[in-house]
Amino acid sequence: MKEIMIKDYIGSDTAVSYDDGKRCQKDIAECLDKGEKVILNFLGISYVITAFLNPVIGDLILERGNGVMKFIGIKNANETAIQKIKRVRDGALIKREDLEE
Amino acid sequence: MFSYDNNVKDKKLFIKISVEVKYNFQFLNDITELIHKVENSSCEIVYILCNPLDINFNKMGMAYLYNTLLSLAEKKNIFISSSLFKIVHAQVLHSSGDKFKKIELYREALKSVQQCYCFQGDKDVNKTVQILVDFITDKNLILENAKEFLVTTIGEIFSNAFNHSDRNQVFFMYDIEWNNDKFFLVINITDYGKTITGNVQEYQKSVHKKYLSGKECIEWAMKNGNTTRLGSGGYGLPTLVDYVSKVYGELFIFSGDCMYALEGTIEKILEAKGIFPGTSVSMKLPLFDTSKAVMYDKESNQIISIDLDQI
Repeated sequence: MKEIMIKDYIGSDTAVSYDDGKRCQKDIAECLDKGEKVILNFLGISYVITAFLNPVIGDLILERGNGVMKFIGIKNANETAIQKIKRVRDGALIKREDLEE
Repeated sequence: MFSYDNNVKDKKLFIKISVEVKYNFQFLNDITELIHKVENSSCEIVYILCNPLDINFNKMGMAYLYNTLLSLAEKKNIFISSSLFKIVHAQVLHSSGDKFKKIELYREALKSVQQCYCFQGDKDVNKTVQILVDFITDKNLILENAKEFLVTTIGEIFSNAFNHSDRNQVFFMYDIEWNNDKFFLVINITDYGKTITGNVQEYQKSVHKKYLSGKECIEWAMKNGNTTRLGSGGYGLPTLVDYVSKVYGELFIFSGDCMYALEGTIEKILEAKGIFPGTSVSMKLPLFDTSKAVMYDKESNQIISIDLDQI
């Protein structure tokens, strides 16, 4: 199991950049490829927008299927971050369903 | 707001600013018409005229008009009358996004100059948001969860602009407006790149072999999870709408030949009077409890005092 600190990709308490999300996604993907579970630690992240979460959450579900959710854990995310994570996750699950049909 | 005289013989288009330049929905819509008329005119030379004695303007409206004329000047020869130039020269300043500075309410409300910021990439967006948040929280201008609100709304707009417009240049300006005993934060974020309607039409044509009208494109783009990007996306605009409607704010998006308007909780998607060659997003957010910080004289339209601890 590997813990990934979101703050390491941002350098502040605010995650608004899609490019930062892509860098984070790359490291998550490397762990997943090795069969490792990944814990995304949002410690020190006060604010996040969906543009950052699209690659980190949404693209991984779209690329790897619903099963990937069992390999990704969320830790220390605040209430508004969780709401946005859910929005991106649920949207990706619907899209994934459409792709499979 | 604008009257047009197309002198085909001399290949000159004359545009007169008739009454006022005030930053509001009607003005933004009229600007799309102005752009459309200039771009589609057979005239290569365009004159913008006004009588400074008649004209009633606010600084944000003037700055927006000036930015529009600068973008049109890439395609046509634009000349503005000396009287209009004097107004613009005194009212509008441009600088890069990293020059965004701490806001002082007292100076901000009184100053006559509108500052426009140009952002190259999203690295200065956090700083901009932080300064706006500090200003709102410092001055008791209560916007619930101000930072969460502004990070989300401004962040999502900038993110859309940088990721969908195909341009690495985004313009930002804000103003503090007093109206009906309330202060409002007015924000505009504009890019002159690919439009929402253009992107959606291209996507629908290539993926679904379908043609959508401009209105249908905006309707599609506002739905949760709809994106023209490959992969996850399409949550930025719905999130923006959720946040703005919760505070009964206003949101106007002009892009291509259509526009989206949210006033409170009422949404409309309409055809614009003309065509906006990019995407212009305007937000107006109520800032409550200003009485704690300032005394405002409605008759003279001026702040007359500010509490000692707020200076």
